[in-house]
Amino acid sequence: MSIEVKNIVKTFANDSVALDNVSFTVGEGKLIGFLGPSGSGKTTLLRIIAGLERQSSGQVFISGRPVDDIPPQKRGVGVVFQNYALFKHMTVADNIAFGLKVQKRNAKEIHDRVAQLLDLTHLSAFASRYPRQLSGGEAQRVALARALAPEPTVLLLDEPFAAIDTKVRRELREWVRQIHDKIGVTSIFVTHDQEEALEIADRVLVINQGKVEQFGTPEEIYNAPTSLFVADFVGEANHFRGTSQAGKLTIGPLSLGVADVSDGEELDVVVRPADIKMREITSQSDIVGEIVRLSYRGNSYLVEVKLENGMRVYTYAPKESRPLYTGQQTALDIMDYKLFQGEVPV
Amino acid sequence: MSTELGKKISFAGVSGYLLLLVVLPLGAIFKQAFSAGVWGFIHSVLQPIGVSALVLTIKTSLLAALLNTVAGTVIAFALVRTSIPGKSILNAMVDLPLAIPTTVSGLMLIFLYGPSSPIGSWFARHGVDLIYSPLAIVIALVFVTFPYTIRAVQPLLDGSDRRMEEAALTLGASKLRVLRTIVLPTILPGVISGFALSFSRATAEFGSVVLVSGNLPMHTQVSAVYLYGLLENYNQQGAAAISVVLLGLSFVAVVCQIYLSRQTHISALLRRVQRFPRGEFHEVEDRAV
Amino acid sequence: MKSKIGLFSFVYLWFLALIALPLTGIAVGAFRKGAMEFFHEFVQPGALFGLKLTFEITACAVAINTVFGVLIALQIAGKNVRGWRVLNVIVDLPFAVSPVIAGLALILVYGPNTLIGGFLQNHSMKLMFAMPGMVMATLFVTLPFVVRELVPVLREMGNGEQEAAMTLGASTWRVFWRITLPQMKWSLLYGAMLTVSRALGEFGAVLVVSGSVVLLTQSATLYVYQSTVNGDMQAAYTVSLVLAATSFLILCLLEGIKRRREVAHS
Repeated sequence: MSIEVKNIVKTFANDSVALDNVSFTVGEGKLIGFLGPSGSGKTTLLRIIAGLERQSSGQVFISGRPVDDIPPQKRGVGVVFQNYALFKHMTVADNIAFGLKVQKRNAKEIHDRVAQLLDLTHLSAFASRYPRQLSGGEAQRVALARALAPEPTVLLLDEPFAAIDTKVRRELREWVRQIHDKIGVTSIFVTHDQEEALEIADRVLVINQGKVEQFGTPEEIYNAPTSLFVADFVGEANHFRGTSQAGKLTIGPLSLGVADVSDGEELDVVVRPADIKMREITSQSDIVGEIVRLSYRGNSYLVEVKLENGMRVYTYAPKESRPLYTGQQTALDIMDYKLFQGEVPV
Repeated sequence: MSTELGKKISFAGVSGYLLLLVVLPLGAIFKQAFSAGVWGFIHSVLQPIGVSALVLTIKTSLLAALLNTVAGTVIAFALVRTSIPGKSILNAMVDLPLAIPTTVSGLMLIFLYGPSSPIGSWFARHGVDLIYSPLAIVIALVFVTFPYTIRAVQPLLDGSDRRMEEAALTLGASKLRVLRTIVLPTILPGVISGFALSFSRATAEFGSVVLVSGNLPMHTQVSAVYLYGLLENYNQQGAAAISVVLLGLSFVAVVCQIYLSRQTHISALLRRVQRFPRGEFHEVEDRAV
Repeated sequence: MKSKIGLFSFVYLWFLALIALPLTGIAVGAFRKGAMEFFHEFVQPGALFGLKLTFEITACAVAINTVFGVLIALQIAGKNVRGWRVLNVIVDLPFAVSPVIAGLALILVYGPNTLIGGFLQNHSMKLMFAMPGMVMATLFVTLPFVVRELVPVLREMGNGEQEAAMTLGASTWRVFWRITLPQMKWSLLYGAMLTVSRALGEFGAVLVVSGSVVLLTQSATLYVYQSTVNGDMQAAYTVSLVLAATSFLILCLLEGIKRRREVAHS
């Protein structure tokens, strides 16, 4: 079931704009991520698609049918909430069975389906437990099973892993991807964690302050950001600003070629730490900086380098590189960078 | 969406109920009070008997509230922080005045401390009238408002972080100092609201007072009884005027309480300390108790 | 531990003087002339009628204010209508109003000489000086109890489970019946019991509103008052004891519910 969102606008009572003319289409069976900082409107957008909130203007279509006047009960949308929202007074099995009972399926059908879902989510041993007896990860699996039980046409997940430990989180997100592939239901999940979005989504919708910044595959978002915000938000970034002069952008000791730009233009530069390499100083014209901090990351070091003019730059050094220490002088090579004029890439 | 309509109907139904039951009647009181104009209102309020009743009401209510607050705080302390034998029974008995009809309370006090009872006659011989006197009013009011301060202070003492007190002790404070600087400020909002509640309740009390006080105008007649008297004499305007004054008194008590509890900013801190709600309902909103 | 003994003595004395003694006093007073006399007073038509009327009024008031209490609490806790703050304030008003004032207020709007009262009178529906009026007075004074018990529980529950149930296809009624109600049932019961307790004991408002006509509009508390004024102390003590015993019973039930509620919430 595809989802189409057209010109959605949502303003609140105090005139704040939560969503500003949002439009996009989700292909059938795809897993889409809504990515953005807190307050960007991504959860509001999800809730509008679910029918839990009403848009101020614009339309939502599910499988080509407009659903704006259809209440959440009838949209065939399954929702996994951030705080699980499990029914505290019911067992795990009853939680999962709830949607099926509403559909008035017979007892045997319900029993079989619940068993099937418990199996799918590896929760068979927990059937008679109550929500308060579950860990975060277990509770979220129950929430997912419950949402999937009535065979929804669309699955929506609102920051499903926000309240869960990091390690469990990684396992869960992989597992959501697997479940999705197995069942094939069109899904959207909301997150502020860009690593999560990049890792499991087919396409990512980047939202900032109610506006769509970019809608593309993880590779597109990361390698070809179409706005300064996306470049900065997705992946780590060193962000500088400068004015173009004679085809070059000079920011402190950095000098970058900027063809096709007239003089006097203010430009933003985004350089990923992974695109900066450190090496021994070999010549006078090297960009030289002093290492001021080394943060051990397990598989690499995050290195903070201070340039001559006081600017700070971040880069990575693999574990097996030459010995590094603070105060050390090093040369830097900029391998790649992205330019933006205004908010738009150059 | 049908739920939107359902919500609106529900709100309309509820509003209609409250309008008919509370808003309209209370509004009518004000209308009636001023039905003879502002001068009529003032004239009714300044009747000497009425003024005397009001003064008596305020005096007895303040005294009762004070006694209650002091005793209540001590009792709350005993119930929460000590291992007094029979604690659970005592705790359950605290709510009794709330459950008992006020007329029955009055009757109980008459039986126990009236002139024909052993205790009452003993006191009478020593010149103290326990019943049919202003003292009787105070006793009745103390009984009726018994639970308020206790119940207001108990949760604060209960939830009060012992760790704060322990920290103070490790920093060298004496037990008295800990009491003064940590425990007292923590329970202060409860003490204040208990006092205000007791006072409000006391000014409104009718059923027990009408039985034990003797209702002598200018001597043992409180405003609520005076009001009733006016009604019996078909003076609705006068009764409404006195009602406005009494309502004003309640209002003043509530305002003072809010003001005083803002001053002690601990109350604001305690609001945060209360359980954090799960789900999408937002702040935990404290009720002005 | 001299201070401890002093503290304990004070507490015991206070409880004794204010609670224990008066309670036993009523029992003694009622049975002073023997059990036969107690029974004789109990079956007086006035006493029986008063008790019956009180229980009827209480039943009506509890039923109505429980239903409306739930509706009001849902609106206040959900904050899903813009006027919820106003509702919140109005619901608390009866606490600030003396019962006689409440009675007067109702008479002013629904008495026989008023717009509404007169209209209803012409259609042979009597509100004031009749049982409906007494029920209304009781509704007024017991309004806040159920609401105040439910709102904190509903707030703590949050919206999440209701929304989840909706996305699973449940209708509004089903959401309420299967999700909201089961989780607030102890608080609801507690609030209802408080309402019962208060309704049984209501005096001032009902006095004003009823005219206290013997065997017609004289509830139990009014009977006690009238008897005391007439000097018929035995009658007063007898009915008082019945009321006090009922209150005591309700108090025990309340304690029990409080405990069950704490267990359910842990």
